[in-house]
Amino acid sequence: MGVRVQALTELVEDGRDELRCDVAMERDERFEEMVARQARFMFQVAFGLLRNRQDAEDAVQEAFLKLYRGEAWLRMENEKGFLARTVWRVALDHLPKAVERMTDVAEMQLAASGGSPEQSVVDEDERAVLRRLIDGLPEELRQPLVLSSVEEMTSREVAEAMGIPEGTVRTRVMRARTELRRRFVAMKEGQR
Amino acid sequence: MRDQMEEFEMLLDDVLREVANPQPGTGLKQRVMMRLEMAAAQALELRGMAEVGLLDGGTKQESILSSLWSGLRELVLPSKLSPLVLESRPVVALDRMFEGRSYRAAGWAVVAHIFAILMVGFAATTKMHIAAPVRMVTTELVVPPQAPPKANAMHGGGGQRGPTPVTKGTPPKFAEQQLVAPKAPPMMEPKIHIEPTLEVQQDVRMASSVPQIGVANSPLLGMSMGSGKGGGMGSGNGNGVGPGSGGNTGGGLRQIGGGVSAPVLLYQVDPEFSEEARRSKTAGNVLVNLWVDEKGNPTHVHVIRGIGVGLDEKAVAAVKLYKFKPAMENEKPVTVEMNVEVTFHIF
Repeated sequence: MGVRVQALTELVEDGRDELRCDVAMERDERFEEMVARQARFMFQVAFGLLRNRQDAEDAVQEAFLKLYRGEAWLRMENEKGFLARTVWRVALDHLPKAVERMTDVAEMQLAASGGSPEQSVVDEDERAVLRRLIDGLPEELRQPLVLSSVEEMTSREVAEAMGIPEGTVRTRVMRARTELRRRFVAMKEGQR
Repeated sequence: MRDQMEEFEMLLDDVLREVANPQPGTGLKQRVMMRLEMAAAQALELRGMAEVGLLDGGTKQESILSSLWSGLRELVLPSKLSPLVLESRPVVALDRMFEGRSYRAAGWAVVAHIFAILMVGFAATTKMHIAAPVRMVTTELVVPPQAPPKANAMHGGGGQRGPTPVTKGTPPKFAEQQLVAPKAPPMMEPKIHIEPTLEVQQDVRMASSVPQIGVANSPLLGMSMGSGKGGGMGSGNGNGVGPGSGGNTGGGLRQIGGGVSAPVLLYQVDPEFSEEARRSKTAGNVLVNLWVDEKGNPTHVHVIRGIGVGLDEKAVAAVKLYKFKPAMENEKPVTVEMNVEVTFHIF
């Protein structure tokens, strides 16, 4: 009798273990799928803030690690908004390091460019000028502008990621575009 | 102008798309998954270490404030511990000191204890005087001997400096106070005749038919007032008759009683204890006989009943230093004889 009960208990225990194992495997599979689906998107969000591939990739990895350790990702409603918000916060932690590295790179580029600034400006085409103008925007304008340009990212998701109202995002995007145009025109006139 | 703006907007959108959508390096997903696996493995390792207790005590440390707070809380409201469940069971062990019970040994022990308690009690109650000074109380007992009837109190004496004892004859008139002593002839008749008297109680009668002055029982004939001193007759001192001293007739001193008051002790000295008596712890009374003269000084001190061991001499020495108010008779101090009992007591 006792032996049979014990065997039964073991069976139940095994069943539970299997069940637990199954749940864990299912969770892992789901997570892996999410990584495959959203890694690129998260990379773009991080890059929008950090402007450096290496830092952006680190931020993405760390963000996924945080998500994996917690359970919040299992209950998220707006997947993109949630993930953007997560990676944005992680990237903010990386920002000081990234800015430091950025200035170093800028200085190096300046030192290597050789000729006068005027010459370089003439040589570059308009796209490069515009890229530099975007970089030169204040962060509070640049971040919403770049994030809004990320594929498949609505202004609502941008607002969620940055933790500001959606209206503010739109206003800032508009201001950023106007400012860019003004500067671009001014630069063109200066070149002539 | 509008074309320019549209051109710019298109250009900007194009550039922004390019800036905002960089393609991540190939294998980002793999790298993320690898990082996750590494982290999981690390977590497992940490958990294992915690299980064997490597991290528990080493990394967790209570801060000073929280430690103080928990200490205070424990002092005011001590947390109740779960009741202690005794899991061990007593095991029968051999007592090596066990020797069994013996009634005989117990009896001996009781007897020994009682004896010890009695000894302690005896030692506590008994006073041991080894070399400590002994305190003595001297009880002075004046023993006035019963005064004899006046007719028998025939002490006293007298005498005058003559060559022979008093001769046979009739004694002169007896009086309480002698004014003129009897004289042997030839005697000059004084201008004022006062009859010679002797200081003898007036109720004493001495029958004699001899016409001349003398003593009735004297064997001598002739005329002599005796060989003593004073104004009496006989061989004694004083104004009486006989071999004694003082007044009256017969031998010996005047006795206390009758008209003679007892001397009163004025000054007393404690006798010393002799070393011998102290060693032998002798105690008792010494009866001392003495005369108290007219000045109140003790004379003729001697022991009547002694106890030896040197205490008799000490008693005599002490009594000799006594001072009395003399005995009185007819408001005159007289010498009397008395006994004193000196008590030697050891505490």
